[in-house]
Amino acid sequence: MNTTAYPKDHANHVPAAKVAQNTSDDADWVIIGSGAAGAAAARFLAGEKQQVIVLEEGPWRDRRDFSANMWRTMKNLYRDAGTQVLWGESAFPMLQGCCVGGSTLFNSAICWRTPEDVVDDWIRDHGVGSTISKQKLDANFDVIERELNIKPTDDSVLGHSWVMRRAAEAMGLDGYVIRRNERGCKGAAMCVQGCPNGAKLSMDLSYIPMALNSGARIYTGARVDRIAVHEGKAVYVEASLAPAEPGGRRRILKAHARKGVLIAASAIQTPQLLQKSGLQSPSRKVGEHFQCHPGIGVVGVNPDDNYDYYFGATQGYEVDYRSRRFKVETISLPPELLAIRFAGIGQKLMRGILDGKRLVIWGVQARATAHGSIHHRALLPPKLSFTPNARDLEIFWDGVVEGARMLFQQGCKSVITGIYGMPFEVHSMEELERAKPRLTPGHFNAIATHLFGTARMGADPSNSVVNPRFECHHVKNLYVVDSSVFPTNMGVNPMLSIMGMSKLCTDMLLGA
Amino acid sequence: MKISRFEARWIARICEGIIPPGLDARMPYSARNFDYENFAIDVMANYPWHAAIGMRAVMLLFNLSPLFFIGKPLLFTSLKQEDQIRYYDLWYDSPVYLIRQMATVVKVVACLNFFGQPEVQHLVGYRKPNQEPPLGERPANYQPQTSGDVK
Ligand SMILES: Cc1cc2nc3c(=O)[nH]c(=O)nc-3n(C[C@H](O)[C@H](O)[C@H](O)COP(=O)(O)OP(=O)(O)OC[C@H]3O[C@@H](n4cnc5c(N)ncnc54)[C@H](O)[C@@H]3O)c2cc1C
Ligand code: SF4
Repeated sequence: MNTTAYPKDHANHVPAAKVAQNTSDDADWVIIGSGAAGAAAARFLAGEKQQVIVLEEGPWRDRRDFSANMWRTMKNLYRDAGTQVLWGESAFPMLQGCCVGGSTLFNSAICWRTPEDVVDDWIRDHGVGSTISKQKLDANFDVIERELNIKPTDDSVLGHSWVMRRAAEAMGLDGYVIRRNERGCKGAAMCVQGCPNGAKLSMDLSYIPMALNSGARIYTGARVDRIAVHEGKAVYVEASLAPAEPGGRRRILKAHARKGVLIAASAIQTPQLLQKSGLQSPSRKVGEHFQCHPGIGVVGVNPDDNYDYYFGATQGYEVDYRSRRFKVETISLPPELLAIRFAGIGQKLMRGILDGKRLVIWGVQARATAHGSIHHRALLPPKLSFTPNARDLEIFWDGVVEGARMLFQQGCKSVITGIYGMPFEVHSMEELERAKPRLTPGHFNAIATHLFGTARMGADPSNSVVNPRFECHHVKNLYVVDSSVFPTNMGVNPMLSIMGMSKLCTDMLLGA
Repeated sequence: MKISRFEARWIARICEGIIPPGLDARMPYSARNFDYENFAIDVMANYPWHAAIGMRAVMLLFNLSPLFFIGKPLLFTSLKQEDQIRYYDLWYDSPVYLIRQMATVVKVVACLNFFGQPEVQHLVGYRKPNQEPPLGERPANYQPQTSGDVK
């Protein structure tokens, strides 16, 4: 695997700036998006001698472009400079990548397999058992885990995560050292800015270079605006190529697919692309049943200790409360994000950040039950809707309470929840429980990074968008391979499941 | 979206109210030490149009907020430092969700620039690869990476 040099310089990489005029290209398969889903599809199709074109809207960034400055990171790697928001009764920021590797470039490299109960639900409630099974997925995970060096975080780089590990061990909780796709992690705690050491095996350093080495081509700065269908079959896609310089002219690339088009643009962009192309399904389910895992922060403060918060794998340990639909994860944030998450301004804020080494911040990932929707609008920004329901709010609260319990167990003198209506900090579990407000969505500062279900899979065309072979019920040769097809959210970080499902699709396309 | 120098200047003044000097003896810097005008211009240029419009509206409303919320015909930027912090805290804790969100957005802009500065990052114990050199160590022709795009 080519992980050392700069794969951006690969001969099969065609940046939009190098294409002077409207042009066309063709291959067996055209893949839209180069994140977890698209890169895995490209790697496994190209690896079997299929001709593959990958079209990626964003540029190819590598560690020569990465920065410890979060604003610079956001404008260079994140979609819309990190400004996407899920609107409802509250506003939740939602983060995604827009570059080669998609969100894998700056995610925390956490890799968990799809839980068995999730696959069982999909089979029972959505009729996907003809093609999807835990055994098939596990076989794919074996391959991917080997290729991406997925393994538990090494003790030497657990850093700030030791606090939760000690709490879990002392309290007999269901704790795990997080498994990650990296080789040689130095514990720089900079995953959200892009790994400066090239240790994280994000897609730009792993599956995309592997696909290119097998003959695939990738166009970057190529935003697909339309999927063209002829006689009920997807035949080509039209991409608009980013201008070479600001204010320059966009060119059109028509990429013809001899065998099929695979959409891997993410659970937010995939439904919009289908809607924009006039490919709403007869079930009208494109864009519906959006689900996510809202993340909420909980901060522990111990003026007597030094947690060395900025050292260690960005996320190294977690405690799972699966039956209660949440887990608590360690996380290290750069000072800008730490300050933004920290309640208030003025002296309190400044003191808090200056005492950063005495803080621990953990994230509660909630397996929310509410459904939202994603809709493309021609002249307006997309309508991204999500409101957690009453049950979800209790799950968020439950997660904060359990996080606080561990923090106090580890000797924290106070806990900052950031929940509206609560005191700035609480000093005991009793004080926390007493201070519980009547919860509304606006009480929480949540953020969404795990996104699912907007072109969901199912055997019944009246209730789903793609069939269990990943093909749109209503368009032949058009496959969706990202987490849009997941019938539900999962309660675990989705990247490995997305790659495993994407490989399952390519296995079927290859007739394995 | 392009904004005028004038608008960038009052966004900078708002941020200076959010992170004023003298908050903590260990922090010799405040928002006044850093270039918020170019930062504001850069933010607006890189935000999608709808987010940039939203940000402009929030900044404008925030500056006018003393008029709406305390009934005084004053701008936020013209309040005394203690009053700025006191009122900000009130709005940050307002029972009205939209007012709380407005205060949060203002804080995001102020903190993104301030805590991204290498000298501030050094002081808070964040020493990392790919970090810009602190002010004293920059060559005369140094272009700060916080504004403008990479390659
Ligand atoms: C901050 C953060 C941390 C995370 N941490 C973890 C973690 O540790 N573990 C984990 O399992 N998950 C994590 N996730 C989630 C995980 O990264 C995503 O679920 C996963 O990357 C999604 O894969 P995807 O291929 O569906 O989408 P993405 O990875 O987002 O990739 C989609 C790609 O498609 C491109 N695209 C979109 N529209 C078009 C178009 N019209 N034309 C051309 N290209 C297009 C985009 O630019 C993008 O590059 C994290 C996410 C974030 C934001
Ligand atoms: S923790 Fe640091 S070294 Fe490890 S993968 Fe993340 S950014 Fe790279």
